[in-house]
This record gives sequence, structure tokens and C-alpha cells, in this order.
Amino acid sequence: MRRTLSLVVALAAVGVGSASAQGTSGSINATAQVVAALTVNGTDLVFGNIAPTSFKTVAPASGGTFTVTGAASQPVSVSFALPANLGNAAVAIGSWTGLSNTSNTTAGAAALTPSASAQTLSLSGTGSLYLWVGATVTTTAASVGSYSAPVTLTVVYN
Amino acid sequence: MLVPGLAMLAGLLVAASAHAQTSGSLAARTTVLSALGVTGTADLAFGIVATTSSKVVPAKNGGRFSVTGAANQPVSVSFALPANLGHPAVVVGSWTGLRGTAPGAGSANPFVPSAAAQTMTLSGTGRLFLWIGGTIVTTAAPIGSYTSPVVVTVVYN
Repeated sequence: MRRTLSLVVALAAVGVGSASAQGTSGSINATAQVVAALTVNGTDLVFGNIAPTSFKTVAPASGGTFTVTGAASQPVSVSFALPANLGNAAVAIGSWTGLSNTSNTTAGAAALTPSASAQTLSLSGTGSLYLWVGATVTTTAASVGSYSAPVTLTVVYN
Repeated sequence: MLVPGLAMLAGLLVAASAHAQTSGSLAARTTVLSALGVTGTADLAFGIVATTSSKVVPAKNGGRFSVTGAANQPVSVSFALPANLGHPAVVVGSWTGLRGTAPGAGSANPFVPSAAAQTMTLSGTGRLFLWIGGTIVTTAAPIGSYTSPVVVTVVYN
């Protein structure tokens, strides 16, 4: 009696295995490489003094500077959030210009146009990237005073 | 009086006998189809990510599976999805998917990959294409390379 019962159990197990074999599987890998965190530091884009109705252009080589650090030789996407004015509509800012280089000098730097659209650049062999931004400020019967607005650079690994 | 009693007993026996011979039947049937094939044709590559960051790879740019089988047949599709890439600081989730009967993702339809079986239908040539995307979130993850399998299982309905 015990032997018969064992046989029934064994057949049931074979049946389950056969039904399971109807499924077919395939696999891929989800992969990622974690690298050193990106850092971005900046120095201001300074237009200095300007008359109530005037304009003034600061070239990128004399403008604001961003220093980016991260993993060596990695491509990154850079994008800018650029103000339309310096906190007052009468103090407009535009005509943005830029330079980029993997060493901290504007000599031999490549031109770029700062914009909200992502642009791909590469970090140096030591994981550095330098950006310079310039622009033109235009005042139209602006009130006397000091004006400021943030210029934001966002950097993401590609 | 004895004879009618015997006749009644005989009648009962006949009725009982007739009932014991009653039978019904059903067919045990199956249809054997061509074997299903599932091939992973591209990994879901998140690429480079910082130690603390998040990154989304849309399905159209993600991993791909190619399924082959019998024409026009419905199949059940289920996924075994990792919660991380082998390290708890490298989490993956927010899975997205596209399914189509042509190799291009442009004409594919969205679905949400999950462990629960979903019915899809093979094309007239027995094809089904799946794309899968997701979001990776790193939280103070150690620098390094990480990987984990994404498995799809397909069964005829």
C-alpha cells in the first residue's frame, strides 16, 4: 500500500514538471556604472556699473566661470538656466556666449552657446571641465540700484 | 400474489442495471504549437551614474526581447524584475515597457512590466517584440559596475 502511494506521488510530480516546461524564458542584464559624484562651483558674471539706459557686453573670457569635477574622461550633459533679466524688466540680459575647456584656461577653449538645451562635453583625464559665460546687459530707463539673478549650470553624466 | 412480487423485484433490478450502464464522455484535447523562443537582444544599460543620483532610461532606449512562436497566438508574458543591481544602494524600479509585433519601437504600445502575467498576441508571423525601461536611483553607492538579470517568461495561453 505504501509503495502504491509513493508511485502516485511521483507521477504527480512529473506532471507538474511537464506543465511548467511550457513556459519559455529569456533574460537580459540591467547594468550601470557608478562613478564619482559631479561637483559644480561658480564665480559670478559681473557687468559692473552701467547707466539707466545703456548696454554692456562681457565676453566669456572675462565673465562668469564654472568649474566641474567628476569621473575622468566621462561625457556629461550640460544645460543652463539663464535669466531674462536681473530681477527687473528694465535690466535685461541676453546674447549669451560661452567657452569650454578641460584645463583652466580660456586659451584654446571651444566656443559654446549657453542654453537650456543639453549639450554634451567631456571631462578631462583628471575629471575636470571649465566653462565661461558672457552676455549682454541692456538697461532701459532702469532705476538706480543693484541687480542680480542666478545663472544655473546643471551637469549630468550621459 | 407471489408472482407479481417477483415481477416487481425483477423490474427494479432491470432499472438498477440500466442506470449502472449509463455513461457520458468528454474529449481530452490539446493543440501542439511550435515552440516559443525568447531571446534577449539588448541589455538595459543605464550607463554612467553618480554615487547619489537618479536616471531614467525610457523603454524605447532600453532592453529588448524578441519572442517567436505560432502565428496569431495569445501568450502570457511575465517578468522577474530586480529591485536593485546587486547592491541596495543601486535601486532600480519604475519599470516601463513597450510591446509590438514589428521590430521598431515607434509603433509599439506601452505596458507596465510586472510579475503578474499579461496577455499579448503574437503577430501573423509569430513575432512579438518587447522593450523595457526603468529608473535607477543611487544613494551613496560605492563606485563600481553593477548588473542584475531581467527575465521574461512567455507561455501559450
